Amino acid sequence: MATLQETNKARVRDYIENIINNHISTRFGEYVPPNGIDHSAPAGMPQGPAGTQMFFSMFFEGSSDVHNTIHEMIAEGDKVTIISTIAGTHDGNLMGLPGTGKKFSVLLLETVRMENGMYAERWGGLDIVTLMMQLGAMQTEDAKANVELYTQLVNTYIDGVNEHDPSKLRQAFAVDFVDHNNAQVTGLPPGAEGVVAAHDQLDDSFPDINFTVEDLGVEGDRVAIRVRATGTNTGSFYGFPPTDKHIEWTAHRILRVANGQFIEAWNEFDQVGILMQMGIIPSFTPPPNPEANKAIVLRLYEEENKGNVDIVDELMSPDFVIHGDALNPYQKGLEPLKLAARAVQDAFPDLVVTVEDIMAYGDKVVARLRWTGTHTKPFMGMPASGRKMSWTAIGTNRFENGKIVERWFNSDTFSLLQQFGIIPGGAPAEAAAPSAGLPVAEPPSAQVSDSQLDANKRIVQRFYNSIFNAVHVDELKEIMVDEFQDHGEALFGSPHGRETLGGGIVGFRGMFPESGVSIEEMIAEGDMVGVRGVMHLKHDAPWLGEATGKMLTWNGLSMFRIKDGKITDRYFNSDSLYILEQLGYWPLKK
Amino acid sequence: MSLDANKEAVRQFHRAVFVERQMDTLPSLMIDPLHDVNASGVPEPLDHLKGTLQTIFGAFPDLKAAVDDVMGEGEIVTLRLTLTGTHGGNFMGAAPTGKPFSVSAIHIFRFADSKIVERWEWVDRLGLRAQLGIQ
Repeated sequence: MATLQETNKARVRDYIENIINNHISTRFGEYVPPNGIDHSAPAGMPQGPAGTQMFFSMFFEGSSDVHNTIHEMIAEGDKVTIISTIAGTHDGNLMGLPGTGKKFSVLLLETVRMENGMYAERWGGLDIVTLMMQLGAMQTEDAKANVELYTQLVNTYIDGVNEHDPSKLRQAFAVDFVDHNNAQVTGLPPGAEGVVAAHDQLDDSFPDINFTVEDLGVEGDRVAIRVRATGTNTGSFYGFPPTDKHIEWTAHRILRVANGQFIEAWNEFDQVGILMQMGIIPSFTPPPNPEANKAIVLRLYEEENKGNVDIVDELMSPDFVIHGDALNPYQKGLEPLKLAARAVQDAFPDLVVTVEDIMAYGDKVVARLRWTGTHTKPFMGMPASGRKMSWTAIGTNRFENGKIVERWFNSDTFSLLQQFGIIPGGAPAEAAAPSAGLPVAEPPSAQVSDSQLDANKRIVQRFYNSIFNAVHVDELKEIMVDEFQDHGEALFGSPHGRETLGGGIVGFRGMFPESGVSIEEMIAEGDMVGVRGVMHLKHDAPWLGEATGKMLTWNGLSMFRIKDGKITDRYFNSDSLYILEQLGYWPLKK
Repeated sequence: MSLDANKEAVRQFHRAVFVERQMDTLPSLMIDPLHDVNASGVPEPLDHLKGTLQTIFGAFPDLKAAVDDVMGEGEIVTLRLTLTGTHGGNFMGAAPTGKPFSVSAIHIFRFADSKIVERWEWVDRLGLRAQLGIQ
């Protein structure tokens, strides 16, 4: 015959396994009598079966898979102690907390006194505080203290990076620190010394490296940080040569803390982004937006007319590069650009730039510009002349990520020198029209098909290759209107009419058989084609003085207007001052 | 080893910890490290248990633990207590409130070779927080 203790334990097991674990909330009355006392009932919970039902219904509602697992039952006299675990998934409303999907598992320790197979008295319960912590509704004291400690630790680490102070890195990282991602950089020593060595390498690649913690979270013994890093790539990185570029990237680290130091970490940083910015691998840039780019170029000059030179910081990339002319040489960065703009504005206080034409295709915008102003202060060593001056330029701008990052630029430097009186000539290339002071641009041309644009480009290609280089001037009439107008620069003049131009080409090529134009780039929009080219010429005949036999090369930028398959206008600027430089006339000898 | 001897060891544990506060006698009652199911689920050095108990006495300097029941079967003994005292020191980040409290607790011990090898503990922490007015 079963002992009382065996009977009581069987009854408890039956209650837990058949009623609780089957989520049957209607049958508690079969186990808990109306006069049953729960000595550990939370405040506000009724006694008797109603209280038990309330307690377990809360779990049935909050967790569809809640389960009570018995580990031990100890019986003595009329009492049974039960060691069990209540575990489940928090997928419903539990104690006012909407489902989180989190798993929970808490011990349930209780002693019951049985009377005729019923729960007459009960003590004990589960640790609701631990349960709330598992559900994320309550932060442990340890966790609160950890946030402070871990933040200090992260600060020590970041200070160590920014101050290039290995002692701070050694303070933050344990001697036996393990970096789970150190396969990224091979050959590092283990432990904190690996961190020091890795940052030594980074310091070589980016000597002005700076880490900023943008996000920090602590859970348990782990701290997660999101770091924004910046630096100038003046040393090699992963074996790639330095680019001198300003690089920005993001890093994410999860660090585990033990005994007040980082003991292990998982690390990801945007290596692809770094290599893209260095130009090692192609970047996934958004499709170019020519209209938006044109608007940026127009705004740039509009702001410059207001004297707002600093607008370049907003509209242009810090990696900006200009391929200019002898007066505006190749330069990197925005500061030289601003300096030059301020110098011109200072010498010509009423200076106005007018955008006479603007066209765009892909990532490029070509603008035809005219500057007008009065020379009221010394400029480039020339005393103030009080002259009203005007000069033209063409600039091709390349955009990257919505900013101007590269520019090819030729101004009519020859004309400028004439107007300064440095070289004879004097009259501006084209009479300066009174300027309204604001950029003037034609409305965007009607949408032209790519095949039409290609046809226009082929016409320009034919002009240079067949007409100019191969001197098939008889073909000129097939691609140019009678009333063609050239809008050139001072050095080459502005012939009117196709016959005049054709005669000029024949004469020029006759003087210089070893000369020609190579097209570096063509872009087309609407009725316009922009060309970037390089001219070469063997100086075998007198021109700008005696023949020197030198091989001269210079860059030029042109814009052609084409109507019904024929060229009507050409605008042209070249690095004419550089021709003088190659011939030894410039810079002026003092 | 009889159940009675185990119960006597549990009473010794109670006297040493809650009456005399002589934690140094713990190693004579328990193995070290001890399997403390509540703490981490893995064996922990007895020093951890001592530290926890000392923190509790710091928070509740006048803590008393009245024995309500000692019962057992086989190698397991249950100690049911009523803890009373005043919140006179820092507890879980809360400054002392000076409030009195009375909550129940259950300690369960498993014995092997006359020493405690495993330990479970429940304290009515929800009731304690409610009585002290701690969130």
